[in-house]
Amino acid sequence: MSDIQKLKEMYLFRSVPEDELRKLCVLAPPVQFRRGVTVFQQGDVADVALLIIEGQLTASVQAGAALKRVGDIRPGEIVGETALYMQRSQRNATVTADRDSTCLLISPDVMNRASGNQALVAIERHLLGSLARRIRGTNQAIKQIWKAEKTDKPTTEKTPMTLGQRLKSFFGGLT
Amino acid sequence: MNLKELLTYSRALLRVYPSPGVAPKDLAKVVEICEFHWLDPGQLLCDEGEQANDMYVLLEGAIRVERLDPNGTKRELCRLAAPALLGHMAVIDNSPRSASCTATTATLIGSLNRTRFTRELGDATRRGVALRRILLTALTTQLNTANNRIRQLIFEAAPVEAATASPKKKAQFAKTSARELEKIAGILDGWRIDGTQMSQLERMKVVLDDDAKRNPRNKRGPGSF
Repeated sequence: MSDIQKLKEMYLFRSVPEDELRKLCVLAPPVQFRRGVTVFQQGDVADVALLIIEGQLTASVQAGAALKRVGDIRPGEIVGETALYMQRSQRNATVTADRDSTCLLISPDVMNRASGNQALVAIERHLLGSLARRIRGTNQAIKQIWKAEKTDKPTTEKTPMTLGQRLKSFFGGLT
Repeated sequence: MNLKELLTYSRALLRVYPSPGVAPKDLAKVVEICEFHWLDPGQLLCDEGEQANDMYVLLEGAIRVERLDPNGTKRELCRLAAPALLGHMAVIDNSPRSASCTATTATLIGSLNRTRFTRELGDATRRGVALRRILLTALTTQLNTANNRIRQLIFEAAPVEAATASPKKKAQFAKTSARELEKIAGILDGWRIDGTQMSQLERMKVVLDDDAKRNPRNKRGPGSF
């Protein structure tokens, strides 16, 4: 199956005409990563995002001296999008190819040149939903911490803030 | 509103939300299609929990943002001065307003209703590009800032907790808190953490796309949690 066919079968491109996918692939030719290759290194300057067409990538973060695996990125998923919308951002995880993988490499240059392309419109809409879900997920998790902290005794000014209070001060101004 | 004013507001917005490939004249086309209204000091713009039908652009003045804490007490989260985007989250994922917003001074608001918002979001014109990218810039910054802050808390947590409780409890609490925060940081990054966290996320997930709701087989869609 060709890369175009694989893209066409992806849910996020369900209503995108094939010629628009072809145009995007001309501007952002699919790139291949051999199994075991480091795609992004935590701490590096973020400059491109990847849309996985085939294979699987793995994200890991530095936990002390060890590298802790935190998730997999599968076909149809996008990784490294921060690079596209934030200036001077850094990679917050190391991403390696778990299998031989094919990805669309989306750079700021591609974003400029293909801004009216319907495939890119679909990618951006997909990202909006994905980011919104992550934010909601985080808010829910934080609220759970709030609830757990509810029964804690109040601290005096002399007492150092607990972790929960710190979170409250950041997310809810509750201190 | 004339073109000069539209461009002035658009330039100011782009300074706060530097969106790639978006020129002030593009964003001006978004501001142009908003409905404008002035709020008096103390006037409510939106109420926490209500169904949202508009996203707002704060063009002049300032807003007080308040939210109920787990005890049901209304707390001030922050004050936002113009220019700023407001209420976009609720329109993006169809969720109720997460906070109440009240004008603290004479405030000019541009509002974009859900129908127009949805249409523009899928549009390949310069206006559609400007709307998508300013929203993506806002959300990415929001996530990244929160994530950095939480990471900072993780690193600061242990010594602070260690100063306030019995040694065993402190160690246990610090460990649990750090683990919890680590999970949150992972969620913010968009990674799957573990089975428990995944199922929790699944419960919380809001399906953005109406098509996905209509077609259960495609409900999750690629790339979602």
